[in-house]
Amino acid sequence: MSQNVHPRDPIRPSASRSPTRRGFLGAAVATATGVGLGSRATAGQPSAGGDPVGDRRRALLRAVAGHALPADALGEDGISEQVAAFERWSRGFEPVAELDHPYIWSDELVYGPPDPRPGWQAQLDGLDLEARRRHGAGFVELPVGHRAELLREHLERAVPAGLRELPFAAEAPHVAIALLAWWAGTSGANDLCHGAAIGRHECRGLPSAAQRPEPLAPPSRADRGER
Amino acid sequence: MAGRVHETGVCILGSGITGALVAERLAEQTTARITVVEAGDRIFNLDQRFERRDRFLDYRENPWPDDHIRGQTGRGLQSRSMCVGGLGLHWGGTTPRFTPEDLRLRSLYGVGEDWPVEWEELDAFYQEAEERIGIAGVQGPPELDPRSRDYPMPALPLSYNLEKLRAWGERSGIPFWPNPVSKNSRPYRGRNVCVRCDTCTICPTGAKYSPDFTLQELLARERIELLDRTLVRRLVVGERGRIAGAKALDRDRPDEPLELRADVFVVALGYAWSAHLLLLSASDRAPAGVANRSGLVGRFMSGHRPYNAFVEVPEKLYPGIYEMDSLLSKSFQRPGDIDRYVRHDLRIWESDFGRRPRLRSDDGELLLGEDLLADWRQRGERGAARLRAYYDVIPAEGSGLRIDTSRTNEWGDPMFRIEMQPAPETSELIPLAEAQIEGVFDRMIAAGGGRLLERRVSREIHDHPAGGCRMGADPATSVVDPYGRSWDHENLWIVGAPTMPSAGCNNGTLTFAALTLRSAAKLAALLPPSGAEPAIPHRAEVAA
Repeated sequence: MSQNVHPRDPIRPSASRSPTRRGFLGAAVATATGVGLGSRATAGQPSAGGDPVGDRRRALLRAVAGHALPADALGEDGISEQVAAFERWSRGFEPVAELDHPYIWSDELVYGPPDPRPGWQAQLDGLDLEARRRHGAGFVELPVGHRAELLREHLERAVPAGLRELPFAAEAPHVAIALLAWWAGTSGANDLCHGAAIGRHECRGLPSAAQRPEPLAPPSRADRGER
Repeated sequence: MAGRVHETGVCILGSGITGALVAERLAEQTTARITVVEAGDRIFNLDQRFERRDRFLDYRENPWPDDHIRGQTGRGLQSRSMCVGGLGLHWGGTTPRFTPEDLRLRSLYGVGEDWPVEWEELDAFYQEAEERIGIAGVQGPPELDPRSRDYPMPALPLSYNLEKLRAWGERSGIPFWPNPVSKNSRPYRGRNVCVRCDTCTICPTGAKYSPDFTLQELLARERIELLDRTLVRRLVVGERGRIAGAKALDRDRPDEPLELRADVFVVALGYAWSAHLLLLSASDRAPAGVANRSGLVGRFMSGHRPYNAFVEVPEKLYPGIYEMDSLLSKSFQRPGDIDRYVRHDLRIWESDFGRRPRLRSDDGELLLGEDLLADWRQRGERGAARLRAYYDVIPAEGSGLRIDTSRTNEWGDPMFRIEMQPAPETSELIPLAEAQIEGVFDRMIAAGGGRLLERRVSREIHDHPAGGCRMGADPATSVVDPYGRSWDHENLWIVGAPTMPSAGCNNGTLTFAALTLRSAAKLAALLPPSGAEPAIPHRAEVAA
């Protein structure tokens, strides 16, 4: 850290939220274990064959992500990493948490939504079931075009026409929108959009604020999951 | 049931920024025994703030989850914060001074009231407040931004986005300079330098001033006692009009009555809870409420109204470099000779308005994946700015707080309702003020380029509210004297926001703090002197 920090500084080494796209893409590699959307008690561990429902949903979510997230920009590995990070985020969600009351004009407290994960699981199951009934194969096994078409049909039904902005992920009407909204709110997504290492959610020091953010390095073949 | 009695010299009710500054000033300058009483919890959690920040960012959770008391609220209240440090934990740290015009509204413009304070005197207390809190800033053009000394810290460096926006804004001929803030541009008074986390609502490093730091320092020096989780419910008027004590409730022992006794009581509860306590304290000896022979407790409350515009600018900007930082101009706070009273501040922020990723395109198509990213990128090719003006709203006498018996806290105390009303003399000027601000926004766009995206005026909002116990030179038309001492009770002082006759047209906290220090200096002169050098000298006294 380039700043002059007071000796009592509590800044923790792990405070950073990956400031570059490369870091953003790479942050979850080590822990991209596929954690599903289940409860804290059952989610988060590779099933090793012991949790077929969790594995199936994990694969479904990954397949959905391939259409909901910008697959070309993120690459195969990037998509997987984002799915894993989203699953971690969903595991950390606390139902009906007390939300931030703004600095001003907040004479009443506001609480967040209940646990969205059971609904998301049901949506994934429904998507898979409809794929089987329509096409005779699970959603994951469908050709890409059929998957995209089916997902879009589901979303057109689930997402109110008046919903024009991305919602808070936990309040999204569909798991695909939740994933997209969560991703779009990350520092990495903001960096990717602007092609620069802005590091919106980082603690970055003062001097670098005055500089134009460094351009993002183009993703390597490995970043993109290419061999 | 027999209760407990806590006896002290000076009993400061409230531990927000004004309570903390009174305590610090008196602790340095006097030998008085000092007790600070706070209804809310003690949240001394610097070591947990990164974790709180993460959950705030990830899940929008309250980063100060114990900062309020269930049921302790009123209609129209600005914030639920009620804890050690008060709203000063949450605040954004914006600290401009008012301008000399704010003290002479009646003389200069024929509206409102003149304040019983001279600018030159207030300047010295502004300086003291800036040095105690730790303000980073740079003086603007002296004719617009008068001050007699430099800020204690240099301004935070302007971000790339703000430098671009300053150049854009100044093409209109309006000068802009960095907004002064209570965020350290260098290590200051034992606290860190700002590292631009950009979540000032919870500063994880302590670089933003909050009153808990002052109180912890005083506790470490054993210079104050802090009674947290202690709700003061009534002030008791005794012989010869003195405040004999306060009836309080220890939230951990609610069945055991607690009485606070002190030589001096200082009410530092902010604009709403100060008036609320005084009105709740009505008794045979004070039928209309404590300090309320004028009938003006809870009256003449006001704030300033925000008028926002979101503008597309002809620059590539990078949203998220430092969204909390901003530019300031006081050009319209010091308007010179004007026919009608219109004054407002002017600020510029970077913004991602209209540049956020969105779910549907203009024609309603659902955007997913690469389509969403392409749409987001296309709209981000040009940057956006938020322009905001606060315009002054002079309060009507009836503007303010009333006890609301339909709503009580869990101990049965009635809460309140606040309704702001502009004075008739300013109501008719509101369209004029808003038209002038629109003209300023249009002028900036015409000169700098770009286009207006949206305007938002909020007539129901009065930011940085003040008043309710206004100061003055006449006991018939004010609640406290020019220094915050109650006209009715010689040992009762009211400090900060409630004492202001008007709320100005920029963020008020530094002015609340300066007036508080002015009250504290007056009170300190009545208490046994310590003879010690203060940590932050008051420059006017030093010069004398």
